[in-house]
Amino acid sequence: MSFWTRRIIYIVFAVALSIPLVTNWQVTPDIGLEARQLYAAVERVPADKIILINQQYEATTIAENGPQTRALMAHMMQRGKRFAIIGLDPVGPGLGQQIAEELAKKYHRPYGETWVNLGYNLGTAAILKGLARDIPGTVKKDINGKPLSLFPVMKGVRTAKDVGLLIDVDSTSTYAVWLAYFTQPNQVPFAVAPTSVMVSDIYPFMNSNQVVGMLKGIAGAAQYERLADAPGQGYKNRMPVFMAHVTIILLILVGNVQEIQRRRKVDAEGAA
Amino acid sequence: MTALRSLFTPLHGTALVMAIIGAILFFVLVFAGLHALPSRAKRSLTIAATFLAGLFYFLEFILPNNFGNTKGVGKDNFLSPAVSPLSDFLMVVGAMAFGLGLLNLIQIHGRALIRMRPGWHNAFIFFVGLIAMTAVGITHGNHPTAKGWTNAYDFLFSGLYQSLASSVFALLAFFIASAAFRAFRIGSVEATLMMVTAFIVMLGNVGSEVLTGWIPPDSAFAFLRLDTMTYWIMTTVNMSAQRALLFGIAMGELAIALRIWLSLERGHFFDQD
Repeated sequence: MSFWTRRIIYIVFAVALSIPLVTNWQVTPDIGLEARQLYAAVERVPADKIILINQQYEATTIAENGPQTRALMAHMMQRGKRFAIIGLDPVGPGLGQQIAEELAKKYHRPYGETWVNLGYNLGTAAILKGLARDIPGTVKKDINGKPLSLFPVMKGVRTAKDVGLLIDVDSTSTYAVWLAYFTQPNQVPFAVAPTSVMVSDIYPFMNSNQVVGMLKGIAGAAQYERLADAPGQGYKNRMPVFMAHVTIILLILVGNVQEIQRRRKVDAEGAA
Repeated sequence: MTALRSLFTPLHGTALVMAIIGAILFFVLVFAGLHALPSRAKRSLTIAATFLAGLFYFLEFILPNNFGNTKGVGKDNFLSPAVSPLSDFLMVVGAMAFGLGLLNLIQIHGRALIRMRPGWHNAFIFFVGLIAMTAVGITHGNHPTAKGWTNAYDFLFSGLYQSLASSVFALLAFFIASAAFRAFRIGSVEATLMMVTAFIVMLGNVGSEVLTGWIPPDSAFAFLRLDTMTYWIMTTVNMSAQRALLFGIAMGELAIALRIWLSLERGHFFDQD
């Protein structure tokens, strides 16, 4: 591929991505079954139980996992559902905190009353086994180092039995560990909000009802925003992704047409 | 078990300081003793520790409810109360790994900077980033309401780190576009099938409303909608393939876990000695 071909591809791609952003092109998403099931699962969580949101992503995938988190938290704050942010990744809980603080102002949900941040917890299987048995005993303090007993949102939350739903906002396939050590042994409903590339891995678990709902990347975030009536980044980021997909498909087709032409030329030269 | 639990009881004030000093002295002696052991003894100790650690979690998982538990509460067996303290222990060990990683980075970049090796400017930027983020992060954590430190933290974390990380990741899209043009060639029936499937799933997941949204989802032609086709591909073709993969991976993981637990893995621990 020549020097200029590569640059032309980059320019075409950049223009295609920019069109929806510049023109603010947005299309109302059709809501898929997976997002609808997750919405229903959040609605089903009773007032005496808490929702855990595992923030398992870093800034690299914030374009997908950020809007997913925002849509989920917006729904929970609208409905006054109790939730706790947690993370097995050092950056994730901080990113979740930023989103929650922003939404808390909008929905008037002060920190500690209906939501709390349990921060980063080092480890995987052993920590999840500890959490299942004793949440305040394992986490002990919130992200700011304050004892969990200070927060009304944690009242009555002791073990996995007090968790009404676990949602794993994930870019690293940690869902399998939560499934094995926390949700499945303790019969906690489990939902996943993965990046688009992970979506195909989750379907076997949805089919076996081990996962009760899913947000499929940025499309899932947009669908959930529609369900929660809180349009945001999901709506906005979806169309550039659509344009990127269309451009990639066109590039593959053009590349193949070129290849066919090249083969014909080689055949013709061989015959001559 | 009570003795084990008492080890993990929070301490305060002088008792905490004494406990920290005592723990440091104890482990300095333990590590000095371990270091003085011959390789064969080190290896035996490591194998024994690995086996016992694995055995604990294995037994805790498979032993029935209330097994050996005189209190007879819920799902506990006699090993269950040690799970939480051991989680704390693992967190501490994991935190030490962070420290080791940091020391290693400081060593490598420090050497590159002092000897002005090629790329020393990268090492310099590493130290600037490390010191700035550590200083601002700790001070902001101790004074969360101080506006100046909050602004500095927001600038470094949200302004620099987040933007840089997401920008670098976003660049991948450009490489994918270029690679798609160069590499994705229809060479066989299988490749064509895969390409058509990929096109349907890509368009069905994002933006199917634009292309086939006009087909009513409850009509006889609903199967022509891209999202319907994508759902069928994902829940029928993809799911069976994924299940097969998962079973294969699980069997492999089981074999690897057993090999590590029983220290049968080649090159394990002190084999290089």
